[in-house]
Amino acid sequence: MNESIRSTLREELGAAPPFFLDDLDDAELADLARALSEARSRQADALEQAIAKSMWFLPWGLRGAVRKVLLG
Amino acid sequence: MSRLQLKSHAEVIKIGRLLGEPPERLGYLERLRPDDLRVLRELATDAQYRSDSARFQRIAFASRLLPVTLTALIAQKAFGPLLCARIAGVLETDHAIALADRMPTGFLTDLATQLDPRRCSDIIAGMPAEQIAAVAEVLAGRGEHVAMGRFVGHMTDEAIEQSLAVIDEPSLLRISYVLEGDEGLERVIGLMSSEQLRGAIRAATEHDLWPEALDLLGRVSEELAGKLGDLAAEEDDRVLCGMVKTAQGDDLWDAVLPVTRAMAEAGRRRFAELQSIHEPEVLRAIVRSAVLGESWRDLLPLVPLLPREAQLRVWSEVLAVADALPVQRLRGLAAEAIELGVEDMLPDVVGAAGAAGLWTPALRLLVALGPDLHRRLAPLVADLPAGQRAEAHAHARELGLLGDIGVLGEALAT
Repeated sequence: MNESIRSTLREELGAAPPFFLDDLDDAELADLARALSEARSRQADALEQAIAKSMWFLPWGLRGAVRKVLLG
Repeated sequence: MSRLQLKSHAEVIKIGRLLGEPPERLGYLERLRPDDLRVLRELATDAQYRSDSARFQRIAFASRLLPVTLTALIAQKAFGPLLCARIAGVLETDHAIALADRMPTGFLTDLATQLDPRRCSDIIAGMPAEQIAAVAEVLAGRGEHVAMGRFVGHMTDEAIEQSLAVIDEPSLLRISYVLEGDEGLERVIGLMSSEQLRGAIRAATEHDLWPEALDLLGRVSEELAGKLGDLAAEEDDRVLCGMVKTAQGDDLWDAVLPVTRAMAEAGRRRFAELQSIHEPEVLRAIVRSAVLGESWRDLLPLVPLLPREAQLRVWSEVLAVADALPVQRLRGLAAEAIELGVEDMLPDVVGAAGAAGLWTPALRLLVALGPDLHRRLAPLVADLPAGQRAEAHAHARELGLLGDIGVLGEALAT
């Protein structure tokens, strides 16, 4: 596993890549890192859209307060 | 596909679902061991939760500010099953259960396929058993055995019992194969009625699921495996022959032989009488598995129950395989055989050596055992029929091995 991929995987997993990943080649590891990254991005995008959509279901008076709680 | 490959495939399905990718894209992961893939999946799951944990916490907090009915509606219409599954991991248990109570079974089923049961164990255990069973029924109907297999260890006995009542036996076997945690498997089987267990055994044959059933037998306690083996032995030949065919075709005798040892005498006898295990190539595979693997102790009690011809074939196979084994292994096998009481079988071993023309490997085997085992075997050899002793003695002399078998030579000469 080259250092660049090791570093990317460490970032995506939030931990040192486990030793058994050495059984994969660099192209496969790069694809795994990409899949992990894309999943996180999709989750973040879906959350933003869901939070925006949820406002439609709230009474007017509550929207501001709930938005403040949700967006911090 | 081997057992390990199938389990790796199931893990890749779980990772694919977690990452929102078709499992085919991650096909290269199937080269890794299932246990390693599970570690990878848990790391990836933690990373997914961690990356938006602050927002998940804020959503969980906000959900307490609204009426439960409205929150349940927003969860379904705005957040959808995937995000709800993530957020469920940070909800208070009572609140999550109240929300689930207001969600339709179809939505809960979609959510269940995305849930990380480790984070929602209390919720799963706290939900009404009938609601869990309703979700389990839909999951099984959709063929979501992998998802179901993740939940069982977190379900209450009552929820398992109600789920067992609505899931068909082939699905139960498929779920058992990918079920996480052997303790959960033991618990599920303990909660099944004898009729359900018989149904699962029949399903193994009718739906070609003996690989799954044999995997199950290898993962439960010896006592339970024996009980299941006895139930199988009560079925007709077609069922048991299905098991033999799978054990032979998939090289799974190492899973079957320990079960036969744990079975009651009547069940073991029934198994030994099966025509299909008397086939020469089947006996050869059984012997090789026992001698080269870990099932030698399991094979020995089975041998006296076989028909005479099959017994002789077993011993001649043992002698043929043993000829290529290291000395230490041979001594280990012989010591185990003596411990288990081979007195009654020894004449057959000697008879097989004569009938199959295997005097050379048989006597070399005796030489390899060494003085200690020679002393333990001598009284047994002295009790052999006079004709057998004379024949063995003559061959030992002819091969120039009399001096190497020590006291055994003297026992043969008496």
